[in-house]
Amino acid sequence: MTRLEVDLSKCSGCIVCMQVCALVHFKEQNTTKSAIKIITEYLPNSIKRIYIACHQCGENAPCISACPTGALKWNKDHVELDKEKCIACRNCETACPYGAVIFNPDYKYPIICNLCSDIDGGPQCAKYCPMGAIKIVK
Amino acid sequence: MSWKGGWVGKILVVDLSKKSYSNMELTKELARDWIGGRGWAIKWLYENIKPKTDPLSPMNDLVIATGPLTGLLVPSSGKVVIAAKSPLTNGYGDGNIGSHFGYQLKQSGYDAVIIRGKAKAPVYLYITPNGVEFRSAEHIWGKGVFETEYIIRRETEKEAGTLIIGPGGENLVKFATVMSEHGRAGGRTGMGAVFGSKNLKAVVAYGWKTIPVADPDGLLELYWESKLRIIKAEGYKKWIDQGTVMTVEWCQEVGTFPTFNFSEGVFDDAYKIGGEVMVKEYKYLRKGCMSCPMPCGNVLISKSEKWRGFVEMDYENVALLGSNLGIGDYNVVIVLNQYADDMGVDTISLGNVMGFAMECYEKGLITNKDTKGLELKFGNAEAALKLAEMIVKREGIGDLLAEGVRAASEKIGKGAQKIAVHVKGLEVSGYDCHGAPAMALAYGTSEIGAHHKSAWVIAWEMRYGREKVDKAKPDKVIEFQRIRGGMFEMLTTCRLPWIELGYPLDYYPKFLKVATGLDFTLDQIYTIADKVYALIRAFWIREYGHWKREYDYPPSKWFETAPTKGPSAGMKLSKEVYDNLLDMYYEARGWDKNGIPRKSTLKKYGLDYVIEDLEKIGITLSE
Repeated sequence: MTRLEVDLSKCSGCIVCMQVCALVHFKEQNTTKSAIKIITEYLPNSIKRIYIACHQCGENAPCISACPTGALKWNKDHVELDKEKCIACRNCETACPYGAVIFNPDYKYPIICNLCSDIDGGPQCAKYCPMGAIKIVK
Repeated sequence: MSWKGGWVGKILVVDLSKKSYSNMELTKELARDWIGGRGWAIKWLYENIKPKTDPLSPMNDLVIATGPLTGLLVPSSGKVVIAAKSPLTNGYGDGNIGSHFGYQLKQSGYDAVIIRGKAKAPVYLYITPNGVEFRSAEHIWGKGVFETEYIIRRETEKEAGTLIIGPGGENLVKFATVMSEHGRAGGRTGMGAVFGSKNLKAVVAYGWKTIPVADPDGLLELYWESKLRIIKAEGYKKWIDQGTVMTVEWCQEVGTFPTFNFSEGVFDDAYKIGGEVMVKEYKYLRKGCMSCPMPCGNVLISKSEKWRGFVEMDYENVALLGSNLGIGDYNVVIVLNQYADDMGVDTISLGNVMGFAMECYEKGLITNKDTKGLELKFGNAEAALKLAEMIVKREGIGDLLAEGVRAASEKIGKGAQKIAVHVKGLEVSGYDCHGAPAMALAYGTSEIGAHHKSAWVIAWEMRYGREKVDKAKPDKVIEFQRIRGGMFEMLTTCRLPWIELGYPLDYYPKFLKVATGLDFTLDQIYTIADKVYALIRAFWIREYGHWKREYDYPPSKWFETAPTKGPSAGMKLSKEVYDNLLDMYYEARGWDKNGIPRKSTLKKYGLDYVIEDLEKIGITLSE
């Protein structure tokens, strides 16, 4: 499967990826409307960074299987949402083992990475990342 | 015309005494004419704090302010300004901190927070789009910053933006800072002590609202161009490897590396605590602010059995906690820096005041009796760490040093004032200026006391000619104060893309256009910057009740004794030269010979009310 991978040794935690994702897909400056997430954790004696991005699990993806209305479907290389069918039950969010189905409190629908399939030039987070930390892997 | 984005449009006003809060509309005037950050801070403090207010009383207000570009997809937009009347200088005090707090505050629906009064018991504020919670901080009062950060994030959100104080702020150490994200610090003018005086342990924000932007596609386009410019700039690779720590080697080469309490400009062990060795031996993580394409954060781990620590390192920390104390072991500098960050005290002022104490000790101005047997000799690492603890806990002589170098030197007397390296009570940061008159002028005339953040002209001065004395020098100081102390402190974004990698300033009006929909020119922004500085100056004059040009002088040490080694050996500042530069500076600013803004200058900026205020307290203003 094609998916995004973040090389955490390069990532600086600038969250440009999160901003770009929301700006591209929602035309909004809002880090909580992003399908990719970088979280920097501050432990008392260290700093840890993790990323969350859709694994594009395929036709049998847990989110697709969990959707009671068929609103989530597999389309070639990514999960696609049919808003008209979505009832905002959030079963997909619970089902995703990677925490990669994102909900913003003010937005009804799940936010799931579609690899920018609707945008020229492929995943924009990878393109914009200043550290070159985001790769598209197969 | 109203704006369409950039600013959120709301300011939060919190009253800790009453445990209440209200929202204040961001007016068109405040947005357009004062921009944000430092502009808002001085306007609020001038208009709302009674003159002569005790900075550590509930009557002092804290202003935490973003600007129209903060938290947006704009290079290095992670800054926030924290301001109040300074307990260290008794004048206007502020500092900026680079972190992820700014966007969280804006996504919570606020451009700024004003905090008034004093909580009855320790609290922290949790700000979200749902409102403000006053949460008890009894369980974290007394704890270090690192542990507090961990606990607070568990109690709120992992990704929350945080501004935290440590025991330094709680104990009202006059140079206590506000900290975030393991090593980010702001407000070296004692903003941490102002937090502490209000029983305020932390301000935490977490938001999910959209920050309005006039032209989102335009924002994406401009960032794309900016990113390419920055990552392809000459020096980029070295910058992201070494960040500001590369300045160690540079300062050593030109003889401005503060050593032995600013007595010398070179240090024999400089290369052991420089940028190159840091990357090779100690660096383990790169860390940056919001939207930064050139992250400068170097997280280091020590390599010694005895000195164990991990910390984010910057140039200033190495200079003040290393060479200035005669310490040439990175492991020790890491441990000292980590201690300062965890306790929430400013590394610059701490290193400065400890260097002062060491010089006092070596000169016999303080003795073993005063230090309780601590041998405060330069290079004594154990003594330095112990002294840092005494300062934070205000024990023994630490209690005096916690008041800052000006107050400590006045108390010690016996000529100690002559070796106290400060301007207006704020300790000088990492540049020795025995042979750098323009940089000395920058320290002398900085808005908050001796700090480099406004007019960091030293690199320019070394290229231009350190020995030259002409109008170009004060002009450069003013230009940098406008750009760095003015524009960047108001926008609030970081100056480093411009100053370090030549990122063009023209981008800022462009970003303002796509963010706010409003047209600004750089000249308009600079005029606002000059207005802001004039009001800051008026604040100082009002607080002191008088003004003298001597307050704009650099430390007397730079006039009186010369370094003995390196490129600045034998150099001293000349009083005549400095006075000449200062006269030209005042003239260009429209201030009189005593550094007081002329009436015509204040009127030009629409600050007519200031004339009346100053005349009322007996200040004579020139026409």
